[in-house]
Amino acid sequence: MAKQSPKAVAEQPQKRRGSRASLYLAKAGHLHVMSEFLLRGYNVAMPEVDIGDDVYVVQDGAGTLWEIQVKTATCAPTKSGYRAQLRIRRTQLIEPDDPPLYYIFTLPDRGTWQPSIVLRRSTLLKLHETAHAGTRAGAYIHFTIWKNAQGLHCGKSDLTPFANSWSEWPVLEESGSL
Amino acid sequence: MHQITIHIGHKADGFVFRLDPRSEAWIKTLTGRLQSLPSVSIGFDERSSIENISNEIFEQVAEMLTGIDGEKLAAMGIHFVDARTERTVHTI
Repeated sequence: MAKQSPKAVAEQPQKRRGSRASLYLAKAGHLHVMSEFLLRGYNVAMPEVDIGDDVYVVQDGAGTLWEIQVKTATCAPTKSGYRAQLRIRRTQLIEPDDPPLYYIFTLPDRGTWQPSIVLRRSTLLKLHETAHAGTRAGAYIHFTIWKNAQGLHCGKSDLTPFANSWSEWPVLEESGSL
Repeated sequence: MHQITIHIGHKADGFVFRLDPRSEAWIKTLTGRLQSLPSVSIGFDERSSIENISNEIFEQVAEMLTGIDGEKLAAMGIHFVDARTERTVHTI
């Protein structure tokens, strides 16, 4: 077996912690989103095997189904707000869908949650291709979200209208007791 | 001349078509109006491949998405791109 340098050995536990931390972070984002839908009166399900569509949301009775992909990006504090980065595979972003897929960006910020960004896949693609949101890097498109006094932005796109934009899922009356 | 691109998505029983946003914006500039439909879905009784979609179906889909009739579309040139591979699978 090849001998590892003391530095390499010392870094291993930290790498494992980092990988585990990202799994915890992703799960926290999923549960945060599922909680929001449950409070609104919608049923939720998570695939046993994650193949990209992270959460299914169902309106019981009506049988309406939505596919949700949750992306969780930790906020890095800035002078007037925060910055968060995430990436999406381009082939996933350009794929037309039926039923529509929604992206929900969850943004943990020093122990609390910033408003989630909620938008349809086709809307995000339009912002990317016509309003300079995100930059292509190989097979992925990287999005950097900035929050400052002027609002919420990604490139030249204003994301402010998409902050906590849950209008597609109005609170159902039967969930009023919640 | 701007190339018009239509992306193809896959469903269990068929396919979903949608104009690439840049093409959509260009058509709006050209015609001064919105396209007829944001997306078009087609379904088959049995699972099918893109190769089984006829030229007539591709033309009808392009007309529904752009609101432009077939002869004008042929002059423009339409590229249908499989979103999963980003390869052009059909042209008009």
